[in-house]
Amino acid sequence: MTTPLNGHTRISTQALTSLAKAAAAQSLGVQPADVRIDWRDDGGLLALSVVAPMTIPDLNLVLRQGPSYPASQGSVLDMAVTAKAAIHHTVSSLSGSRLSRVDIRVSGARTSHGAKVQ
Amino acid sequence: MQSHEDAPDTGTETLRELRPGLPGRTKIADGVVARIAGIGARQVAGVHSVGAGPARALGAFRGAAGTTDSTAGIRVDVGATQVAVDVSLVASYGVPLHSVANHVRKAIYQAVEDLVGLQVIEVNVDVTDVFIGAEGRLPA
Repeated sequence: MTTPLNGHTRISTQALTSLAKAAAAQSLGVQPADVRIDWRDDGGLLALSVVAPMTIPDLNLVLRQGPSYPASQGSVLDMAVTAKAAIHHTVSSLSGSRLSRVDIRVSGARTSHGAKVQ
Repeated sequence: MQSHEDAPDTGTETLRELRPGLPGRTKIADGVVARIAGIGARQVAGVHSVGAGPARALGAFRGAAGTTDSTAGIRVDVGATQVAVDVSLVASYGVPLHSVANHVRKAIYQAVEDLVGLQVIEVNVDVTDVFIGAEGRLPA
């Protein structure tokens, strides 16, 4: 088409929040309903805080199979750091907004029995 | 486009003449433009629903009740030869929102210019929410 396309695009806070909820839930292995999202101004940039439980592997299985247990992705802290990067990447690429930081507070742990992985 | 003669101001239903060559005038009401824009927007992949508000529950409810209003979420400003469209929509999770918005803009430009024959001057897209899944559960 030769006509240039004009008009602006607005993305509501609600849309950004739902997006971040889904991204965080995916990265932490929980449901979006379990995730609380907060946006803050960080010196003119957008900072995201996430409060959510996360799914950890069954410790009995980890103990039995040793640290090579495939579901083990390191310590809870390591998993949260990995999730943080994933959330940052997903939210930035899907929303087109540049996030200055992602803070995660892990509010609980859900045990997975390894069915999802392997 | 052909030359136009200003239509009389009839309030909300701004009408215009499209075929000056032959006697008689063609009038297209705002609702028609809005409906065509809405249908164009709905066909874009990544659009969950068109229309503002918490579509999570309401959209399903309205759909089930069979009263889906194809002009909900669309506002048109129709002039003599030009039209501006504002659309608010809920996107699906997993698609970049700006790309959905751009595709919607393109679809509305195409639908309105081809089917209505008015020149589109702008399409403003308001993404009001992102649909995650039924009852807020991520699809497996």
